[in-house]
Amino acid sequence: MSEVKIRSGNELVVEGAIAAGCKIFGGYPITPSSEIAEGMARELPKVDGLFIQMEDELAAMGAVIGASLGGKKVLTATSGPGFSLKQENLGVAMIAEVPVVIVNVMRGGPSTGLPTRGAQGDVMQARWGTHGDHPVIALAPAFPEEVFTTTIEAFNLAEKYMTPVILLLDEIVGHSHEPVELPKEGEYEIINRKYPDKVEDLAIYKREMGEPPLRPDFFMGYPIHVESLEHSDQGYPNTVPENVEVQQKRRLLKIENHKNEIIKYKTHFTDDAELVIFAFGSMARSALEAIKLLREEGIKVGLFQPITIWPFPEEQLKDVVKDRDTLVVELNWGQLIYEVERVLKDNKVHSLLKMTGMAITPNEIIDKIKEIKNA
Amino acid sequence: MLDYEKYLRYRTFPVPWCPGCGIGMIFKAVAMTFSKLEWEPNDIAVVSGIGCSGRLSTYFNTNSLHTTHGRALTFATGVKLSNPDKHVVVFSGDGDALAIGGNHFIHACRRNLNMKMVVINNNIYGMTGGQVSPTTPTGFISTTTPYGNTEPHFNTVELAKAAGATYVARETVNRPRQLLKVLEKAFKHTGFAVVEVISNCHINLGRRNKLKHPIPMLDWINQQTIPIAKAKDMSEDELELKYVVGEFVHRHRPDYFEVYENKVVKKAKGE
Amino acid sequence: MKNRYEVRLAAVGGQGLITAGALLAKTAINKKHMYATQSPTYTSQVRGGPTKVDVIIDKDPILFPQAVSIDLYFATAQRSFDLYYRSIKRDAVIIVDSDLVTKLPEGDNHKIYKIPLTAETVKQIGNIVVVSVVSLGIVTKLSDLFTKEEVKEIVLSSVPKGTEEINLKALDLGFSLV
Repeated sequence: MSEVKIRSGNELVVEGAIAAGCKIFGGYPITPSSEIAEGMARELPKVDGLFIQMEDELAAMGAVIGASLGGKKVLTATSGPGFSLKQENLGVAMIAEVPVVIVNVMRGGPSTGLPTRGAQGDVMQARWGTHGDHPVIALAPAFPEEVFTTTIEAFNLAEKYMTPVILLLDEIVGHSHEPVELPKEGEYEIINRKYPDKVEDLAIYKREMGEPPLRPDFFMGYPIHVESLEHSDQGYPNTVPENVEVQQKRRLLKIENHKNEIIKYKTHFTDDAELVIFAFGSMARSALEAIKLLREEGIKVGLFQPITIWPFPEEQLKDVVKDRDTLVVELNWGQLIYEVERVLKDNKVHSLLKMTGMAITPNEIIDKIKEIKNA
Repeated sequence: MLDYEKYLRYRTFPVPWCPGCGIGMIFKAVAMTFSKLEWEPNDIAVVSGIGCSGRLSTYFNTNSLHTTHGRALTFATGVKLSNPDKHVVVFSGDGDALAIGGNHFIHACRRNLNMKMVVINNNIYGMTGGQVSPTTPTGFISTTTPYGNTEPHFNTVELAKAAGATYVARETVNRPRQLLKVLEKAFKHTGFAVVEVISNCHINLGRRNKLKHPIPMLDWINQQTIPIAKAKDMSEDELELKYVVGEFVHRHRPDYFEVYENKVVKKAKGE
Repeated sequence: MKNRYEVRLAAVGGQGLITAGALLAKTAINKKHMYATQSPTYTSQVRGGPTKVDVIIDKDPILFPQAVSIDLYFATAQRSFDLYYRSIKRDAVIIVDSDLVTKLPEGDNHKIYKIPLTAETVKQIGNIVVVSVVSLGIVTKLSDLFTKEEVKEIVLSSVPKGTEEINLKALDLGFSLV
C-alpha cells in the first residue's frame, strides 16, 4: 500500500491551488484560514510564484485582482470578518470580470463571533455580499479529496467564466487532518483563460450575450482599460441605458446560461430513500454518518450534497428529491433552507438548523429523522 | 503629433475635469515624462482610485485600471507583482491616498515595490461636491465643515518619509518645469517613489473660501509655496499651511523584488 | 481490535496535545492501514487556553471527522476536562492528570485512571516538552490500539533529529505509568 498523505482541508487547498497553476497569493492572516496563507508562503517561491502578505483584507483582494489582470492565476484566503472586508473589491472582480479564487473558511459569526469554531453562516454573504446585481460561483467541498479537486475546479471555473469563484470551507473541513490519496498530474483537467486571436477596436468586453469576455492580459500589446465603473465594450466608463443593460445582462447570463455545466453535486443512497437530507460541507459528512447508522436500523434515508452552492442546483435538487420529504441540515440558523423551500415548494421541508460553536452531530440528525418519522 | 500624444487615449476625450482644473496639467506632465523616458505604452500600467484624480487612468493610452476608493495601490501592487519588469504608475487624490487609502499608502512606502505614485492633492473631495479632506487647511470652509475645518491637516511628504518611501518630492501645478524634473527623477528611481502635486480646486474648495476663480486660487497656492532650501531657515509655525516644494528623499534601499529573489526564492529552492 | 475507536485528548494549549493526536492518527494509518482523522479544536489563547483533539480510528472510511461516541477520554487540565466532557461512551476509559484534574463529576461510573502525568514527566525525564509522547504511551497501552513497537517506529520517524532518545524514554515512561 502506498503511503497515504495526511492532510488538513486547508493544506489541501494549498496543494490544489499549486496543482491548478496558482502563481500569486495575496492574503491577510485570519483564523481559521491562516494555514492556507502559511502553506502558500512556503510553496509559491518553489514554483516561481510569489506570496505577499498585504496590510489588510481589502489590499489582499486588490492585489490578487491586479495580479490576475497581469496574467497570473491568483488565490486569496480568509474567514468571516475578512470576507466582509473583501466584498468591496470582490465587486471589482465581478464588474471587470477578473478570474480570482477566494477561499472563505467559515467560522461562527457575526462580527468576531467564534473565531475557532466551525459554522456555515456565510452562504448568503457569498451570494449577495457585494452590492449590486452580480454573478456568483461558490463551491463547498466536504471530503478531503473533494477539497483538492474542488480547489482546482474553482480555478478552472474562474478562468473559463472570467469571474471570481468563492470556495467555502468550514472550520471543520479546513482543520480536520485526514488520510487522502490525491489524483496525480494529468488525472485532472486544468483550464487556462482564453485569449482573443485579435482584438478589434479594443472591444475587450464585446461577446455574444451570456458569454464571458475574451480579453488580453495587461502588457500583451493592447492598451486595454479595465474599469470599476459600468463600462462600454471597450471598458470605458459608460452610462447609456442600452449599453448598461447589455453589460449587466451579459455578466449575469454568463453564469446563468452555463449553470448546468457549472453545477456539481453528489447523491448518496437517494434511490430507495424515504427522505432526502440536504447538507453541504461538514454537515454533509455528519449527515452521511447518520444515514449509515440509520440504515443499519432499516431506516432508509439519502443525501443530496451540493458542491456548487451558487448557482443553486435547482433542477438537480428537484430531479433527485422528486416528491419526497427533505431535511435541511445547516450549521447556521437557516440560510440555504430558503432556497430549498423555494425550489421544493410542493414538498415537505424539515429543518435541523443550529450554530452553537459545536457541529451538529450524526446523533442529533438521527434523533431528528426519528422525530420526523414518528410524527 | 507631439511626441507625448501617443500616451493619450483620444477616443475617451473630452476629459471630465472642470475648466481651469490643475489635473489636466499634471496629466500632460506625466505623459511628457513617459515620452521623455521613452517608455513604450504597452510597458506601462496606469492605476487609479476614485475621485477626480481617479478618472486619469481612462485617458492614458496605456494599460490602465480604474479601481475603488483608496485601493489603487493594492491593485497596482498585484499588477507589479505579476509583471516586475513593467512600469506601474498610480494616481491618487488626497482623500484617496491619505484618508480611505491611508493604510495602503504607508505600507506601499514601507514595502518599496518599484512603483510610482502621483498624489494629486487639491485639498478637498472635489468630485463629490466639496467635503473636507485630510489635507484641507485648518479653518477652510467645506460642505461638511460649514463653520470652518477644525482638524489639523496631513503632511503627505512627512508621512511618506516616515513610512519609508525611497523617493519623495512635492511640487505644485504652478511650477510645471520643476514638476517635470521631479517626475522624471521619480520615474527613473528604483523603488517606491511618491510625488505630491498641489493642485487647485477653485470650484469646490476655492468657491467657499474666496478663491472661486482659477487665477486667484493658483495665486493662493503660489503664496503658500516655499522652496525647500528657503524652508530650512523657517520655523515650524512659519511653515504652517505652507507647501514646501522640492525633493525631500532620494535614497537607495533594495526594492521588493531584489529582496524577494535573494532572500526568499533562493532559500525556498534550497539554492 | 475494534472496528472503530474514538479518542479525545483535552488539555490546554502548549501541552503538545495536537502532536500526540497526530502521532496516534499516523500510527493507525501507517501501521494498521486503517482510516484515521485528527480534528483539533482550540481557542485564541494559544498557550493556556482549553484545547481538544479528536482522533477517530476506523476500519472504514470516516464520514464525520469529529468524535461522537468516545472510547477514551484523556484530560490534563480541569477547565478542558469540564468543557469537553461530552459524548463519552458508558464503557469508556477516562484518564486524567491527577494533579491538574481534581474535580471529577459526581456519580461518574467510568473506569478512571488518575496519573500524576506532568509531575512524573518532570521528575523522571526532566523535560516537560515530551509530555505529549508520555501521553501517547499511556493512550497506546490503555487503548490496546497498537503495539509499543508500532508506536515507537512512528515516534522515531516523526520527532526532530537528535531528540529520539528522550522521546523513547518518554514513551517508556508512559507505558510504565499504567
